[in-house]
Amino acid sequence: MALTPGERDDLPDDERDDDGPVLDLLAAATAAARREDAALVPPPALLRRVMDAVRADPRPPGTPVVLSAAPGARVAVAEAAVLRVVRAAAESAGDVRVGRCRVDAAGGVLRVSVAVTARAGVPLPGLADRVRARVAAVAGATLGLPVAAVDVEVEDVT
Amino acid sequence: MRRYQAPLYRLAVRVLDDRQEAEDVVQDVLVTAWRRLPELRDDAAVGGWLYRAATNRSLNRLRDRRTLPDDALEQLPDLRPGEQPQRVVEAAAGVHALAAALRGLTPEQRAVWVLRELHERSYAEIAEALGTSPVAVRGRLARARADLAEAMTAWR
Repeated sequence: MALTPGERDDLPDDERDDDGPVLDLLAAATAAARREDAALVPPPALLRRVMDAVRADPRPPGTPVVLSAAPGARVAVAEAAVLRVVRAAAESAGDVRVGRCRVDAAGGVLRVSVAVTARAGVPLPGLADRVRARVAAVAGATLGLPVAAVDVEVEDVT
Repeated sequence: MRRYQAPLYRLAVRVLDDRQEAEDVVQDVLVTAWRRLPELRDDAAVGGWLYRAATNRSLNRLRDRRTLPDDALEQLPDLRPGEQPQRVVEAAAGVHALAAALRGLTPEQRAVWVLRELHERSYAEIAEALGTSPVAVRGRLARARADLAEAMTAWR
């Protein structure tokens, strides 16, 4: 963990030619702090409290998407499941990996927004069109809901 | 969750210098993460999100705490070696001197230093956790190292 020459300007003059021991001291203390950290384990009660809090509120996050509200024949799908369907549909377009994903099923139509990482060199407008078409076709058919909007945000290219 | 709880706890303990508060932060982060799990898919995204959340929550607590009287500094034992045999106490005292020196950094500098030197996060990851640029991270890290080296010299 040597300091670069530029950073030595911050040290007092008398340290410039002889800062080896000081840096050794900091490096040794840092190594010791790492070892101390490695021995530091969270109390078991911590994970227990986390699990208690999670179990106290076990419903999956988000609002379930209602596919049919017919009395006696209601069909609702957990948001997490809908997201999985949408992600798989978007990735079936190829050249793309889906990151964040949001769905909204208000008014009986599905509105989707996906953030994607695209393969470098693939023309992005065409890619966005393919993602949109796959989500509309596959997710629409799987869920039986018309897909009213598919917003695509390309957040990275690799 | 099991995999991340220990690193997050260590990070929060170092940044906050208070185990109880660190526990609260980690509990809060893990419960929130659990609820947001479907949004956080791949492993890299989960790790990044958790580090960012834990760093931010720790820094927020420090900001809230700043208005309170700083009793924590009083609790620090005076570790100047004095007449004690230098070699024997050096390793242990060095860690305490480092801990004391870390308290002298700004919370942001301390977070950068801990993330880099103890958690070996990349500049890009640290920048993401703190909502800043890798260049700014590099600057803060250099500053933190220089300040720590200086504080350690004073102790010596």
